[in-house]
Amino acid sequence: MNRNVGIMFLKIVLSVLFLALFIKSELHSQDHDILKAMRDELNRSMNELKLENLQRPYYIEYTLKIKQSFEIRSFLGSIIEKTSPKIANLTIGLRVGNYKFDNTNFFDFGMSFFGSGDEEESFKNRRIPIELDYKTIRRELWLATDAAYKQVSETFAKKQSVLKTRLINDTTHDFIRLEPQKLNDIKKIPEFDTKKFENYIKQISSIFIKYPEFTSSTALIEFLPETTYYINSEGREYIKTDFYTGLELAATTQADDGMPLSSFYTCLVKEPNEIPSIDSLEKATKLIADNLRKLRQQKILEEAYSGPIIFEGQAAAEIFAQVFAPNLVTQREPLTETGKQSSERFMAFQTKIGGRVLPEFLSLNATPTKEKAYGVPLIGHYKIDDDGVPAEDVLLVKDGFLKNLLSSRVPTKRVRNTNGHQRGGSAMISVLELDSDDKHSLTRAELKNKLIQLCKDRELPFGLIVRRMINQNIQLTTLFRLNPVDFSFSFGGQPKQQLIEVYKVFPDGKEELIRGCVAYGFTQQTFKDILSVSKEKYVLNYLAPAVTSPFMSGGSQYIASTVIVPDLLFEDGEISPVEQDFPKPPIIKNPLTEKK
Amino acid sequence: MKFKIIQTIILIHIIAFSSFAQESIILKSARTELNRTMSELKSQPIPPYFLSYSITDIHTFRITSSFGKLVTADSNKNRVLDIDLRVGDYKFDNTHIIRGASFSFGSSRNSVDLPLEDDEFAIRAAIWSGTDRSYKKAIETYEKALTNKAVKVQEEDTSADFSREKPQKFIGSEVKLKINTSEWINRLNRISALFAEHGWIYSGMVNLNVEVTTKYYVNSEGSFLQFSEPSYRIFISGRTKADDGMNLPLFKSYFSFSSEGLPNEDILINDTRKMIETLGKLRTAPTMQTYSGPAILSGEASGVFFHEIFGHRVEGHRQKDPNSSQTFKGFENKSILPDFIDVLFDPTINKLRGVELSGHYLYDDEGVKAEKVVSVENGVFKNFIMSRSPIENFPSSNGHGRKQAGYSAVSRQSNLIVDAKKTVKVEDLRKLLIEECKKQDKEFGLYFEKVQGGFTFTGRTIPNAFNVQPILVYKIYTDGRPDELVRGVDLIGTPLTTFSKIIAAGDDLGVFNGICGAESGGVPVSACSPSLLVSMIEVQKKTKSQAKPPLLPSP
Repeated sequence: MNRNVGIMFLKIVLSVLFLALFIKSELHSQDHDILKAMRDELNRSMNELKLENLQRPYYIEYTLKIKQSFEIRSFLGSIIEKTSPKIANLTIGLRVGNYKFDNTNFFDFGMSFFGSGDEEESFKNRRIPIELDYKTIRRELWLATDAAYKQVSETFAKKQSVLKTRLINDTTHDFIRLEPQKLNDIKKIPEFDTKKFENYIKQISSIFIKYPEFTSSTALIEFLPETTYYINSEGREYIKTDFYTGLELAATTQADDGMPLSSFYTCLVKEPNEIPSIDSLEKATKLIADNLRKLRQQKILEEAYSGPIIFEGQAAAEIFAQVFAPNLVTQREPLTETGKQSSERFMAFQTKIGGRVLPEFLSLNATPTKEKAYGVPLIGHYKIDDDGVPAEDVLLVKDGFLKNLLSSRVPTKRVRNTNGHQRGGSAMISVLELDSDDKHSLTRAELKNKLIQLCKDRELPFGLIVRRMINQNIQLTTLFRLNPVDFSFSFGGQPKQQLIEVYKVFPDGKEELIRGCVAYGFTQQTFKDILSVSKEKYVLNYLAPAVTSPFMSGGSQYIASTVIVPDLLFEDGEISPVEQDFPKPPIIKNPLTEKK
Repeated sequence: MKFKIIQTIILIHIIAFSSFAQESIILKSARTELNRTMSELKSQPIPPYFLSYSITDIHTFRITSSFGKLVTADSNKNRVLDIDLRVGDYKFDNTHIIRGASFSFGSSRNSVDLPLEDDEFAIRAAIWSGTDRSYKKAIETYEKALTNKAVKVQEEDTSADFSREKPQKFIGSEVKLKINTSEWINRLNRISALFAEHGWIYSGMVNLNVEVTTKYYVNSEGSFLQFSEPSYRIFISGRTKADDGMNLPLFKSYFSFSSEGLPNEDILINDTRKMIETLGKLRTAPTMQTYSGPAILSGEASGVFFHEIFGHRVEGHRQKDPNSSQTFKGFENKSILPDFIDVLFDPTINKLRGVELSGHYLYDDEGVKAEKVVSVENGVFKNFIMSRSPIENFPSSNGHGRKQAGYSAVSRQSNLIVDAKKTVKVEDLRKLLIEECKKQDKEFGLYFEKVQGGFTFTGRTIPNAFNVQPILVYKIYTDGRPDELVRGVDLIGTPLTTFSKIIAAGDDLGVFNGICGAESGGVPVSACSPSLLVSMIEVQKKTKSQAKPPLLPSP
């Protein structure tokens, strides 16, 4: 090595080191400033904030989030959207009354849907500058805390007045007191290589050019890092960083009879560098595209099928995630001005602890502390929940019997402690793993044989295996965006799930792919009738819709979650053909047919 | 009216200069798909008779700074395709108003996101799938419209659904968004930091909003257009509260077609300081009670007043809607304003007395060349502003079919200019006000210096009142007492009565540059007017927040 080059190299190393040190110490001082500002304003508010004749707050918490979201979307090899906004926001949690009875667990229709009628300062997800210093944070906290206190005091008065006219039997406390604790979970936020991933999604979306029978398609990558600063008046504090990376692609087409068909692929991981290589992404894209092309040519299910069904791989995980999992979190029915607000949505297990909810050979655990399973990073993993409580692993179902639910600091009749599952505004699932005893876990081939046998016993001409079904998040976001016209919302009525790949299985073991199927009437009850499962498990990282509506909680709509589920053989289920009028297929040929 | 001649010359110059530019890939792709669609759908039982693609490239750059700190600095690019596909014929097509229809869910949106890169096949594939959807939807609504016509009574206005217009061809040069990010962030932070010196100011923000839209338009009549429309806006806003809970906002906005046209930092700082001073005065200003009597509206306030009260009522398409009040229908050649007043809409000029006007454009969003429209001449009503939706006695467009990307075009305002032929010096206007007060035996008159905006109703089911929201109002006393700043009132009234009360105009000019929102989205407009003396206006109490000011002092 040339001496000069050596010196230069040394200089570069030194300056890099210097820079690194500098950034690190600055980060520290910023963290320090942020927390100090939060503490100072919190103390002032706890000590001095008081309206005449009204109570002081007994509890205050501040959550400050700095988030960035990188998003790149591509269509047929060309970028259609590229954004990376960075924002900071502040949410004030303020309580008046005491742990036993306060302003919360009360739904004020007017306030919750329309906010205060007055042009007030906002205190939930309040947008604040991204350039944060001590003075700025205090100013923002001051105005937001003031607004929160005024609104909360009003709500508290309303709730008290409801109790004056009604006898409420439920004496469950409103909030659980916790000891002070300081926790941190600070990871370095990884770099998002925009150029690299832009090329990735351009490359994979360009694969669809060879499929002119598709009406539309898309590829998307997103990376969402966030840093949270939290402090409450009990002396609980934390700083945590969290992030996930998602890649998805989707395509839509129509069969010759007009039936709209779609397919998708998603990959959700923590770090950008955990996204699979471009080669495997290309393979996945081709597979999705080929299957969708094949699906167009398939027959439809002639009539509704009722009988044994296997949900395999992705489909097993999805049906579990959509139908069973949301029942596993605590939900507190809020009081309203007209008594108790009752919603049946995923409330089935609230009073079911001690009862059987699965067959006796199945058990279910929540394992938020687990980082990886079967080599796959789990996006439902975390160390500290949003209340600043360490995540706990929870035995939910043992040998078929419900033992516990996933909970936050809001107690319910049957669950009076937090197990560190406050996520995005309310209690939410984390990582769920379904386990079977040895006797009932079969190989895929054995499971299929069992299905065939069951069909023979019932003299059914065929059984069904579901291999892929639509994910709720994809359906409501990407697929809706691709094809708003062919989209049917279902309000109320029987729950149904759209299936993508369903196979008829004949007595001789032969399989036939069919299109346009919908699963009907699957509820948590259906899961009691699982006969066997596979040895192999599928790890599904997905964005789970919040169980408690964000309208009520003020939190996020989707929460990064994981389910680890084997193939499921249901004794009885119903799958029907899609019954609706289809739009005509495209009249003019796709211009891509002209492309050589 | 010298300024207009000067502007026209400049405009011609720009056109001549820029028409050397080249047709873009995007325009070429759109034309290819347009021709393919028209020829291939010809054999269908109900073929389209008209098709247009309007593609808008929107490049925005926004900075927001609050109390000296950056809130956001975002840059965004979108490319949106809007499809206007029509079946039937010019006389009766799928856009025909379906009478008695309750609410048509999402019927107006026919837009598609296009790739940002100039990839011909990707663009064409996106256009193709959007067109297929639009065609099917057009047939469906056409059938509905036919049935509706058959079952309902004869329409009042039997004019055609779509006007025939001369094809336009123009390729302008593309303008690129250029901005020095860090320089602007620092500048905005320095300005918004001025608000941080005062604990009683609860919001103090400065925004920079730069938008360059490049429009591409093709239609089956042979039009093709391509040109850019840049805009640079600064918005300074501050807000405080009075002890009675009333929110007191003030703002100032600046507009230019170029970054160089924006005011320099010294001016912005000075204006912010003045705003802070006024905010301080407003906090302790007395509240105004309900009042009727004479008032002066500043030029800017008069502009907004005319935009709301007059402008929205001369938007042509409203005269066809059976639910609209159609205020000026049948008023052709009738007097509606004092004879010394003209009202024009002139999108062809980009400046008036040195002030840039944001309602300027070359072609409207239906591919029709922008035209100057004299709506009121010597107080007599002459003309509506027209899109390609004809109305009785007004069979063609005058270049006012406008929309935001993602919406369908309707007739909208451009640069509204209230032109008074007889003016008095602004100082004399004040004397006239005092005289008028004395005549009416009033202790004081009002001066509306600044308005926040306003709204008006044009439907038939609600009274056709307007509400203009002033944020700076002064009492002018007849006995020589100094002017008194007051707060808490809105200016209200009904259009025809209020117009008849205008008695004099000043020799000044106020310009309000803003974005006007209506059914076809937000479009940039301006409203220009001299100060006006009105013999009788009415004010009512403003809605007011009941929330107290913050309990604790600013940290």
